[in-house]
Amino acid sequence: MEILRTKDLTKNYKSQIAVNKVNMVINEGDIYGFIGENGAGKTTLIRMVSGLIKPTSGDYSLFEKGGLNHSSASHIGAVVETPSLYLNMTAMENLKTQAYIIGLKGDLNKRFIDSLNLVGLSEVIESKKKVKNFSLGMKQRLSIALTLLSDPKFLLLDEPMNGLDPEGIVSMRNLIINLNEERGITFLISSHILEELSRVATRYGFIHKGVLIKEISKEELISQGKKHTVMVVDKPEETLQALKSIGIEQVEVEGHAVKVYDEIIISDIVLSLSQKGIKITNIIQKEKSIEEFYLELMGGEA
Amino acid sequence: MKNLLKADFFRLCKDKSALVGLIITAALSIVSVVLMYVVFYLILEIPPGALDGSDSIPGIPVLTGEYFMKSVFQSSNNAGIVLAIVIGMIATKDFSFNTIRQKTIHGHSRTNIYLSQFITIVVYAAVVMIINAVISLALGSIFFGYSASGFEASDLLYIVYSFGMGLLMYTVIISLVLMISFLVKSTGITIVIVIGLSFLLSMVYSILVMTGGSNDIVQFFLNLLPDQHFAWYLSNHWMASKELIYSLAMSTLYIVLFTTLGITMFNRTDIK
Repeated sequence: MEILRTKDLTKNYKSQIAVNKVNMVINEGDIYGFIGENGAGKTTLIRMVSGLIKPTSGDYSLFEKGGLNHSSASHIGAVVETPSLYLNMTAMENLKTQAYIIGLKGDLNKRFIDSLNLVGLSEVIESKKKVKNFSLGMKQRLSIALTLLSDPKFLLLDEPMNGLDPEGIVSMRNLIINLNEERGITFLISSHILEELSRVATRYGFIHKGVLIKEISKEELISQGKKHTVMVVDKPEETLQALKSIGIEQVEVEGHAVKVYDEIIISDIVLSLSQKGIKITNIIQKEKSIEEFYLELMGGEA
Repeated sequence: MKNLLKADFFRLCKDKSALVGLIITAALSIVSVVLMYVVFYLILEIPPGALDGSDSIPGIPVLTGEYFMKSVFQSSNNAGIVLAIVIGMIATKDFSFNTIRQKTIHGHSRTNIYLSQFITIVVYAAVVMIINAVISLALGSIFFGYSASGFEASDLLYIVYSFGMGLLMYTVIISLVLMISFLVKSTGITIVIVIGLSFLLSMVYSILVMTGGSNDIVQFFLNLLPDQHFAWYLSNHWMASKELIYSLAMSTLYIVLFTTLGITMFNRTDIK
């Protein structure tokens, strides 16, 4: 099932095009990592899909139906940039307000407790502590707890890792994975922290200057991010010739680093090069990271 | 809409500024009655009859419980300004906390969000105003007497009329403050504009009165001002039918105008 499909979605601010004819598809179960530089249009797109701003042109559909309306809104939740919380209330009071907004009925207390437990905020269930005294990580998790009240099928998180300490990042990552695996929630997550995003995302969309330049699955990214061997040598040019002479063709030289993209047996290479008087000071095997992939895609612009 | 109203009333109950607003306005109402008593009776030693309408001094208002009760609803008195500021603070809180997003994301129309906020604030202002009016009426009656002619059973209906008219006139201010709040979305700027507008309106009204209320053109503009409607309300026991109809019509028109403008602007703006 398609959770979100945008069709030529565009947003202009006067003469500036913030989002330019974006056609994006997010399928059920995806954790869609939305990647782009500052001002690329990530937040603007999330705001359009959440109904906070109106598109200049184009359209989008949620759950294979129309755009955001009362019916689809009950299945989505969003945390856009900063957490949207009543800072003068406690966590439970915030949940109660949210329950009123959504229109929940029945025994809500159990639901509130379940939501707080799920996001790892069980310590604030009985607490009279106002939200203004929470850490940023706690506020982020409480924001997610609020969105969980409506039992959403689709969550939009804009920079959820921003400002979190390492412990907070790990806990946010685990929460996203758990919600995806256990509750089947589909995610659209924008983030600058690409390495962190790569640990949770199953699909990626790369946006640059408002244009969605590539959509790729995790599997495709792995297959494109070829494994390669980096050797640091004292004579790079001679190393290049030596490697070519033994049939290794996919080689790049960067200073004293020689990158070999062919599959090789390291011991044979070391032996062959040392016989030619070339000294190897370091050898490492690397995969192309998501950051390298992103930079390559941007052509060094980002 | 019902869900939004529940959420807004719950939020209001948890908002300390709402309670602080009630306490400050009540304190100001008490102080203004006591202060008048101390100044006129104890310091200036003006004879009691001169202040209760039976033998009033020109330029000095006829001070009675009825007068104090009605003056509570005046937007330019101390309690009126404080309440307008508190209303601005309550209305902009959803923007400063970004909680307006949650309402929008959950599919509530902006018109409903605006109207829910409007209803909540009108109810809050009505509660505050009525509490203040009752305090002023009680204290004013104790210190100055209810009115020159004393209290009669038929005055109960008059009190209901006074509350109704006063609230209608103050709702003009509420709708204006709410429109400004949704336009600027900032507590600080809203407060500055509310205070500025309050002084500006009073100044314009005073200038128009001084430059000739008898001139037809000046009188026309004067009649448009809420201050003029309030002056009719305050200076007459029952308003004359022509003035009453004019005040009712103009107040309703202002409320509809400001609310429609506010909703239209809110529907056109993006939420951050």
